[in-house]
Amino acid sequence: MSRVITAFVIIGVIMSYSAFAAWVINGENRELVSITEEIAVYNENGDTAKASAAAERLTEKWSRFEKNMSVFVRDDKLYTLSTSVSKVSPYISAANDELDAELENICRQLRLIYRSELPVWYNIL
Amino acid sequence: MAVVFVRAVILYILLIFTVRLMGKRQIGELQPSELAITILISNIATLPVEDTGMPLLTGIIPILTLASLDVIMSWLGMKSRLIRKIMCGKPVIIVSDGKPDRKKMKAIRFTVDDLIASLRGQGIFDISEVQFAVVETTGTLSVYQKFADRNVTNSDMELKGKDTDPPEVVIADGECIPEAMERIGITNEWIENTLKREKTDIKSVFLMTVTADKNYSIMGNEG
Repeated sequence: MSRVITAFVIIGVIMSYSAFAAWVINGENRELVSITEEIAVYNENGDTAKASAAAERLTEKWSRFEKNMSVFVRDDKLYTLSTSVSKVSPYISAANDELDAELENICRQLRLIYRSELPVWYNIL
Repeated sequence: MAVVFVRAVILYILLIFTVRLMGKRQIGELQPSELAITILISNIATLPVEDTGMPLLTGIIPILTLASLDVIMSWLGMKSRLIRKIMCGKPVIIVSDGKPDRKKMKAIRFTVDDLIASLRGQGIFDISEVQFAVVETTGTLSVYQKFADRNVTNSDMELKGKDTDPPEVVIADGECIPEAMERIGITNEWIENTLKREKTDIKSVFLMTVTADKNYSIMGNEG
């Protein structure tokens, strides 16, 4: 009987952990998306100083997020995002046209990471 | 490299826990579903060790899930005959009244060669000795021989005797086994006195067995 109880407890822990992982990813993602959108607005308004400050915040936040996320998410997904995040500051300094595209890419990737944790039919199948 | 090593150690501990959770079964006694789960678990366990880019949890979670589901399904199988039948199938009688049932053998894809080989494995070389044979859900063949070919038993010979449990190993490699001592109702004191009588001590004993009647046998380390 103790084996059966252990089995039920394990299933319960796994389900709670999965919900917790999705909640953590969602929370962290929202923050990162909001900073990224902030950068896009500053960039649109031509406020390079504020955009650079926000980009620094993004990089800082991303370093912490990346470590936490590596527990739940495959490294290759995080690597793609890491590359995009590292391009933001240089693009702002160089007033590069590709900045908007890169910011959009970051937002999409972040949403994709969150969506891939949800137990919905298209992820399951 | 250190990451791979640590991951391998963690998975080793996890696999020991998983196997203990699933319970004691020999490979030959595994139900088809249990065998599939065991193979699946061993495959999943290798993935996070080989690929360090994969979170360890993506290996741990399916292993624990499969093992837990196996335990839960076995438990449900104990409660319901229907679930047991769905999960394990049912034994198939392939020899009845001394005659092989070809229809049933065909249904479970059991050839005459399989039947003969399984019989040989049980020391039966002549199929005409078989009265009744069943293919169990684990795939093993259970055979009931004809009266003339069955072994003579004590009751056939009308021999009188007591039904007793086999001897328990109470000392192995110089160490007492408390659970075994408790089962046959002996104490440390009894062992010490017995060994004193035999002019030896616990550390010098390789193996000591005791029956419920307190008959014992001792094998020393030097032997």
